[in-house]
Amino acid sequence: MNTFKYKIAFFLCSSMFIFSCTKSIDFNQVEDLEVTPEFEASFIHFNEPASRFLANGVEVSTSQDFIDIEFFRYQFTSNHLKRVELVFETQNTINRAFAFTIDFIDITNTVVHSFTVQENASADHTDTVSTYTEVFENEDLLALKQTVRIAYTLRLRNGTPIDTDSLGRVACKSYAAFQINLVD
Amino acid sequence: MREIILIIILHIGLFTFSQNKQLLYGFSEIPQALMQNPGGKVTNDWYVGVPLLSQIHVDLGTTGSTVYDVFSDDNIDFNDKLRTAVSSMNPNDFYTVNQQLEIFSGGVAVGNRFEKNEYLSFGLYQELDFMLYFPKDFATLALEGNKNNINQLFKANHLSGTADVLSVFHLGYNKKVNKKFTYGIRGKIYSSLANIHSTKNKGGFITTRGEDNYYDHEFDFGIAVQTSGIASLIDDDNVDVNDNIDTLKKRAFFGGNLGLGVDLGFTYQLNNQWSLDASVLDIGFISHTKDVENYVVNGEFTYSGVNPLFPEAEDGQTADDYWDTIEDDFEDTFIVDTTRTKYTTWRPVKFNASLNYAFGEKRSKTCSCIPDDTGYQNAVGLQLYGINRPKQPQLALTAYYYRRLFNGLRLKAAYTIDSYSFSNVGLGVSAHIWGANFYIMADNLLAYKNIYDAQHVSLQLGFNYIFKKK
Repeated sequence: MNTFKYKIAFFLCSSMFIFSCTKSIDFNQVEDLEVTPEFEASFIHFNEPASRFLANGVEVSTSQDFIDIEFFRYQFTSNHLKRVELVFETQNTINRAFAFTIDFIDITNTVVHSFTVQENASADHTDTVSTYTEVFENEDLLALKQTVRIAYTLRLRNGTPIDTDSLGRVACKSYAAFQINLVD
Repeated sequence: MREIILIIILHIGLFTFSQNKQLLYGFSEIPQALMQNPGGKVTNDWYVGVPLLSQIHVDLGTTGSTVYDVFSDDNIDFNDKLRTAVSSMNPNDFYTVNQQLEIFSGGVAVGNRFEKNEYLSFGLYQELDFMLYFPKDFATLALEGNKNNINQLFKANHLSGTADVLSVFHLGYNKKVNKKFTYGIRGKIYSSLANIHSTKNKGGFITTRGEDNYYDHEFDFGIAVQTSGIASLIDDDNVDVNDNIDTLKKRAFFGGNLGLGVDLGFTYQLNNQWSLDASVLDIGFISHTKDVENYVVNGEFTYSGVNPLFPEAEDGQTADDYWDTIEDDFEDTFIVDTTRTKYTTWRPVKFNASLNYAFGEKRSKTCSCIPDDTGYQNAVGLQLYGINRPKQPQLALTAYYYRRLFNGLRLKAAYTIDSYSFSNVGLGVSAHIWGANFYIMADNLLAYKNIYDAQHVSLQLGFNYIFKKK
């Protein structure tokens, strides 16, 4: 009887493991892994009346400034940033066309990339709206990754001079769309 | 990076460990059943567990996707499977791991010479308990970004989990008050070797349509990860593995962060065949005072872009000054403060209860009488189990059938409905040969046909020497 008892116990215990099995699994699939999140972040904006182009009652048709930026030189950005789009929406109700130029400057103070967003004049002070997209891929993306300073120039095109009675506003909204590959 | 992601994916598919020991609960011939109910029935006069082998327990499970869901060799694009797995899970899905190893254990009946109705049991065991909720919003943000998730709040409280490695010294007292009522109590001293605790995070990150610009990005975080027993082990100056082993040994024997706990339980015999029992385990805490290092991120920041040409300040601030302010505010939002503030963790309290019906008395072939020492050969019953977890309790309901085979073999089969599955069939066997006892129990036997697709597996086994007068 004892022998039989042992056999039953052995059978029950071992069967738990003997009957365990697996279906086909391929862990090498992880080599195919792509993690490519897309982030969008607000970039430049302004919304200013015509009077902003006056200094002591005299028109100053060009405004210029810059910001120093480290973001594009981070190791993470350098390794994983695959594509960037800068998307602009400009509005104008001033009777003067304007051009908004952005220069990307590297550590040697060299402009490595530049583009200009144009907006038409608004003769009757109703909104003129335009959109513009600048894409950074390949060489342009490499230039972007060298950028340490972004310089902005807003220039009113020739036309009726601005004075204190000038109507209208200039406005711009924009965002940056980043495509990232986390696995690279 | 690829390795880190692989580890995360494996975690998605890996099993989690629960602490439900539904096969052991009420299995009174196995001395370790007293650990599940200190007021359970005692059927031996004394026992001693084989050191390091008296109870080995591992339990793994996930309520979410399995390894097979993601890694099956089925010609479906791996990235599609991964995204499907992530999107199918919710932030209340969790992974748990529980492992226990008894270092030593023993028990002895005490009381007057003729009726030893009291029982003392004691022991030391090591436990690893890991619990992590699926950080759904963090995974979604990493996989998709915010582009297609405008107006969605990525919640910081999706990061929630605990990990404990500890040793537990315990001393239990069990008393059979009369034929109907038995109660028990077990005191515990916890010595935590290492702990990670992050359960009360709040706030999050959201991108909404903006007024001044396309988007407003709001960051409002309150994230805290508390640790003890880890900082000294990962210190850069600490390179000697032997030193670390010595440190862990000391912590295992009351040298860690200490805590106290208690288990309570009873058994009530309603009549000859019906009985009711219940227990509450690990009502206790650990006070983390040594080797504490906490990481805290508390920040609030709203960003809607930069106005480079007409900075808001009119006091001569340049665009670059304006941008610097934004950068500083942004960095301040994500600064990780390291603190050494002491903290207390509560052990996950477990609850067990069962209603049992015994039947099938063994009759002697020779006299048609009922031998009074054999009792009933079968039992069926229902068991309820619950464990308190950071977000919500986990519950399990078990129906079981117990059977004595011959003098020295006991079987228990159980069907359990729990957070993991509705198809958990388990089997436990306890063999008693002279004084030697060997038991083995496994859960989710149906899942063994494809172990990679299992949401929950558990196994426990052990060797004891048991002495009974009768």
